[in-house]
Amino acid sequence: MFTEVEHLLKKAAIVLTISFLVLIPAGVFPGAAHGQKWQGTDKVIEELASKMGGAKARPPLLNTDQGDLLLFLFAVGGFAAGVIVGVNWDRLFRRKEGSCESADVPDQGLAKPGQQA
Amino acid sequence: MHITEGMLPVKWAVTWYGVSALCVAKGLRDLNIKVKTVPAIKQMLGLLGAAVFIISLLPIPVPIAGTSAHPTGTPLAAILVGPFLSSILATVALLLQALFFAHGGLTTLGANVLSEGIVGSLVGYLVFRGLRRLGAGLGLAAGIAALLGNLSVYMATATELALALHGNQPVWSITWKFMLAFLPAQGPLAVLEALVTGGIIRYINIQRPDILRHLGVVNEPSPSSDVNFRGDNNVYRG
Repeated sequence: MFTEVEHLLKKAAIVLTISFLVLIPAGVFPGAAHGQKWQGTDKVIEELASKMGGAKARPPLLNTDQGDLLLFLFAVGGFAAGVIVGVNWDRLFRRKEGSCESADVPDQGLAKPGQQA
Repeated sequence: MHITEGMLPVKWAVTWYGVSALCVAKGLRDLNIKVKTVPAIKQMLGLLGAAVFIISLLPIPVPIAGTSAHPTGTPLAAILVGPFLSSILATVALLLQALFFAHGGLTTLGANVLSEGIVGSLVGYLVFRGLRRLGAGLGLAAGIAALLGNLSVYMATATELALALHGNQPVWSITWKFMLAFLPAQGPLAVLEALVTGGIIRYINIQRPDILRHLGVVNEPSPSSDVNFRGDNNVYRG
């Protein structure tokens, strides 16, 4: 049963991926034309909560949302996270020349199914 | 979803901190054991920690809704390292986001850890395990786990907000109102997260199936992955 479902889902996945790739860039222009701001869902919910329950958001302890400061922090944070992902990805998936083993994380004791590492 | 600083009354903020602290403590205990016993766990935790941080901070525009929203990443982490270790990764990511990225807040950290780090991880992990027991393939099980894990994060956030802000109205009706506000943006992103998570788990199974076995994600070697891993069929002949 799952094989058939998987087959159908694979097709659906391809269609959805293509739809997303087309829809996101296509959506930017109509969105801009209608003056939409691509507001974050967090902000939408915050406004709804304020309307319904009277909850009022406070500025964060360290308010970095000032000028280009937040943009700078996002750039630095994204770069640092990217480096950490890249280095660890390389350690896990880069293989030694002519070997199945990763350069840093060897395939320890897994020659047989069920064998203890 | 990051509940903004100051949105929750003190009573609820403290309650969610308490619940989250219990799960994170269990995660720290698991961490101590796994660091000593599971090869490659440090690299995997480093990779997943940074991935959860960046995925849960990435605003993706959703044209259907006209808003931006972010995936969660915690179901993927939970599938690979377990729900409690995943909750530690989410706690670190959410703390950094609250301190330096104006996302979430310190008073709402407990609530955000509970919804994204714990509920998302537990639902993702349990759905994955359940589907694997029923015989689902790795990619399919991971994809559905990520889809439901993602939606459960928003269901939990909606419930947290509704419990704190429902006033005289029934909690379920307020929860439903918040869910309706989430769904237009979060529904498509849940599908996207499902596709990405399913793809990543399949990729790891092809590249390093031994890592999935070390981590306890799979028990038996799959013949197709062995062929891809070694380039022949002789891996398990001893």
